[in-house]
Amino acid sequence: MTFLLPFAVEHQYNDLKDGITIPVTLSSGNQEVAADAKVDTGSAVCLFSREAGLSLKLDIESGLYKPLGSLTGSLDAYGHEVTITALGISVHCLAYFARHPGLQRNLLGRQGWLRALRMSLVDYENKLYLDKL
Amino acid sequence: MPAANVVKVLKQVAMLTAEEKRELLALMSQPSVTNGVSEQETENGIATETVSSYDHTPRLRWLKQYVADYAGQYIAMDGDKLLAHGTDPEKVFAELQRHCPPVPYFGYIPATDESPMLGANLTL
Repeated sequence: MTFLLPFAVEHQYNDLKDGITIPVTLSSGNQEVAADAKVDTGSAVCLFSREAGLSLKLDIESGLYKPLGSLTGSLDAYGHEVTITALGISVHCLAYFARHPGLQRNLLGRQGWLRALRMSLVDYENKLYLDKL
Repeated sequence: MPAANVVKVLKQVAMLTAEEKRELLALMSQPSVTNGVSEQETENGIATETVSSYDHTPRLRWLKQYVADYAGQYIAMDGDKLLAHGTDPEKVFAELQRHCPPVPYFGYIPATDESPMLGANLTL
C-alpha cells in the first residue's frame, strides 16, 4: 500500500552531527526573538533557553512550573504561551523556558509543535517536509 | 513553468471529476512555502496565516562562514552582526541586552570535539 501526504514546506537542513537544526522565531506580544532549535521527536515538549524567554520580556518564573526528566537528569522549566514560527509556519503554543541560563540546545518537541504539524524526514538527503494540520 | 506545460496541466484538470476538482481546489488553497519563504496569496482572496516575517538568512550566512571561529562559545547577534561571544552565557546575554536589537539572537555553537548529542527524551 502507498500513502501520499501533501506538504507545504520543503526545507534543506544543514548536515550537522548534533541533530536536525532549523531557524525559528519566537514571539510574545510585540516582542520577537530569533533562535535555532532541534527537531526532537523524543522530547515531550518544546524547550528554549532562559535567555530566549527573557528576550521576549517574559517573567520566566511566573510560568507553569514543570520539572522535565531526561536521560541525564532533570531540568526545571516554566511554560509560557508563545508563537513559534518555523519555516514559515506559525504555531501558538505552550513552550517551556529553562530556569537556568546557558541551555545549549533549544528543542522542538511533541506538545505544542509536532502535534500541530504533519512532518516527514528524508535524513539521507537532509530534507524536512512540514505542513500545518 | 513553461507555457506548454501549463496548457497540458489545464487540459488534464478539465478531465477531472467534480470530486477530484474539489480535492485539487483544497490542495491549491494551502499556502506554498519553500525554505521559509511564504507565497502570499492576496489577489484571489485566499487568506494566509500571519507568520513572523523575520529573515534568518543573513545570520545563517554569517554562521556558515564563521562557525569554526566561535565553536564552544555562546554568541549574541543582531541579524548578521555579532554583538558578543564567550563561554559565560550570562555575560554574553548581558551584552545582548545592552545592545537591545529589535530581534535578538542568543545561541550556542557546539565545540568541534563535543560528543554527539543524544535526543533529549524530555518527559513531563
